Amino acid sequence: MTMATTMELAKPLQALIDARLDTIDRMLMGQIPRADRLSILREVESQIEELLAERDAATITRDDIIEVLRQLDPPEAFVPEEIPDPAIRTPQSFSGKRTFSTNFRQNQAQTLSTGKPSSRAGLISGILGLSTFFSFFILLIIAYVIAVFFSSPELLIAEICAISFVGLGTSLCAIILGIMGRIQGIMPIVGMVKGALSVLLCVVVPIVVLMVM
Amino acid sequence: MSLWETQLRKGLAELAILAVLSREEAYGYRIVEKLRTLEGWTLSESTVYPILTRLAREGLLSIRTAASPTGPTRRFYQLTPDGKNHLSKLNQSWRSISGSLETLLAGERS
Repeated sequence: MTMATTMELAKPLQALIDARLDTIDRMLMGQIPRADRLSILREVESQIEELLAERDAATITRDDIIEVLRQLDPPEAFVPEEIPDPAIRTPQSFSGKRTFSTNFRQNQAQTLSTGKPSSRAGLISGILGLSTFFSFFILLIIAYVIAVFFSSPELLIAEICAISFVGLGTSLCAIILGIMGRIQGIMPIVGMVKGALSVLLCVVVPIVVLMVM
Repeated sequence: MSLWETQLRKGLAELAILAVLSREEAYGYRIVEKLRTLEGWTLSESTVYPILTRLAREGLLSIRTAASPTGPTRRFYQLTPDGKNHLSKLNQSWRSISGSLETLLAGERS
């Protein structure tokens, strides 16, 4: 990423500088606005050129470039650090790079340390997913008993379709709520997994029953 | 260096940069060079450039571009009126806090 270069360098030498600037750019991507990133890169490139300007431009070698780059801070030093919360000290919080897993672990730590779930949506998702999954099997057994009692295969199909329809709705709700609260503890994950399994059951079971009967 | 010390230094970096620019306008690398000379305080480009960029974005610094006789085109940073006000506030806060702490620590010593 050459920006405002005034110094003419051989391509392989310029490539070394560009590689460093690109690495810094990648480190900052998603962390700060693009305009700020470009401004920082412009300053770093300018500093490199200031340092190279102290040497004779015609005789700059690869070693000179490497020496100048060695004087600079490493690219990861440019990643903005956040002030870590001492209450939730995780190794990731000191690295400066905030990722999805960092958020997830911090929220889990928060949930565990306070002993209460931090997301109502996630809690409801977990309960909904679990209850849908297990009630599906219980209702299937009850439906089968009723159908046998009345000796009516049509009734069984109707019951299974109704159970599946309701189950599909509640399991989709569990998944949506799980997505809303997915980084807030273990319950949303349970809700999403059980919800997904319930969706599968609600689709597959009626098809199998219709095929068999 | 302890986490507390790191955060303290980072927090004061903005004040240090504004203090450098209160005397005269300067380009990025020059500011880094000036801050490197501070005893017991290593402020390098990875700290200085992001702060300069943010301060310029917030309108506390203005940028003037000028050619250099030897090196690349330089971007000179200068305090805006808002920047001067901001520096004054930070300076006041710093003096108040450091004064209070000094009193506390003096009491601790005696």
